[in-house]
Amino acid sequence: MNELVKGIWKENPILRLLLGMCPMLAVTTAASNAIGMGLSVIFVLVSANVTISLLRNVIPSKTRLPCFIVVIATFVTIVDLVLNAFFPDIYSALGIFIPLIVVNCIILGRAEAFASKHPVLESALDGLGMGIGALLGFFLLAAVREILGNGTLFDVKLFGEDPTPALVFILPPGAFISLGFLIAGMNAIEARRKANG
Amino acid sequence: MAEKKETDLQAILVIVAIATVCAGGLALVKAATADRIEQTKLAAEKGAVGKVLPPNCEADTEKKVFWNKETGVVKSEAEATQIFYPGFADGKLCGLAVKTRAERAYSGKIVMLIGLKQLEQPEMLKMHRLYVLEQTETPGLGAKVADGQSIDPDQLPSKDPKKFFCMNFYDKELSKFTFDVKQTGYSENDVAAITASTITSKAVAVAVKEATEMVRGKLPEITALFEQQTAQK
Repeated sequence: MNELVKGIWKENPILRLLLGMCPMLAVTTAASNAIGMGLSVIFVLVSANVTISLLRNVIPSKTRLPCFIVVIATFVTIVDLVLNAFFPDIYSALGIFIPLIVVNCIILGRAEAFASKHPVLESALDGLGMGIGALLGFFLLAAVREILGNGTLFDVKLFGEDPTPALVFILPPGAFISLGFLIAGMNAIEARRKANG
Repeated sequence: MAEKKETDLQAILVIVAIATVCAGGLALVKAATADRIEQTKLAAEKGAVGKVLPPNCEADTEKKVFWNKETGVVKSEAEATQIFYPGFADGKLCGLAVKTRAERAYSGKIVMLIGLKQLEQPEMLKMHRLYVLEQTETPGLGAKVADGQSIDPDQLPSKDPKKFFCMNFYDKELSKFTFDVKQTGYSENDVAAITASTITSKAVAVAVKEATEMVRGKLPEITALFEQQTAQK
């Protein structure tokens, strides 16, 4: 169970380990994009972790990184094709960041650090936990940015017909500012938890 | 990880085997999604045709005509340099959506639709809207070529073409439009380039210029094609 839970809080890949920053800052302009990206990352993480764990005794150590990338790229291409076919709006919003999941350090990092050394079930749980942690990180950041920068959440207007949102939050500086506050908040909670024993 | 004595040949064989299985799996997924992707693409194109035609001018995508700039009407999309989609109001041709492409943008080709109106005389011809169907430009730079295009131009928060590139081609008279691409000091009949994306801006401007000049030159011939189709029906 620890494998599943650690990615959600203690080792959250977005808010604690600060991995995969580039796509995170780019796609978190709207909550729907964050959910689309988060679900794509969960699918790729779980599938890649399971496959790499199954093949861990076959993959030679010399060529392990190319093997991992081939496996990860396969699952990312599946996500790319499925989104293009069934969710064209999300596909168009996420654009280049779908193929770029291939080089997302969360996924390659879990393959190298965990799946290549652990059995299938543990690897699947690790992938799922890390994926859920990434999804929550994406969603929290996107929700803050969409609400403050656009006055909406999932395109639902929250402040009436004519709000004056702080546009800076859906622009790149707003991403860094929001991320900083989220990380500070998380650190403060963690510090209080430790202080309380 | 396999730590036993590995030869280079074994390492190569393993990666080839993994790549082969992955390629096979991808081929299956691609085959399973190909039809759906094509349908989605066609539906998006139909929706975009409706957007670039003037208000109250109903698109009839079934009556599309494949056109080659050298030879005129051709039979298939593969031979065509442009595709024309007509729009009708009360059975009369009221607008034309021209699908064309810029072959050499910064990151490859850009496929776009240009809506034209006032088809009575070549001198009266006006651009109504531009809509980018496909592009692979850099996010945050050249990809801004499609910014704001899904929204009705009158509802956009700014009419400045520097902020929304599509506004360069909104409701513009072709006889006055210069197609000169400028970063600063542009007038309403120039093209305001996207900042740091002059190649992309120029590629689109050139493609729109070529397509619209061709339509202006052949306007009676092109409108006659759709009038004949309506008469035959």
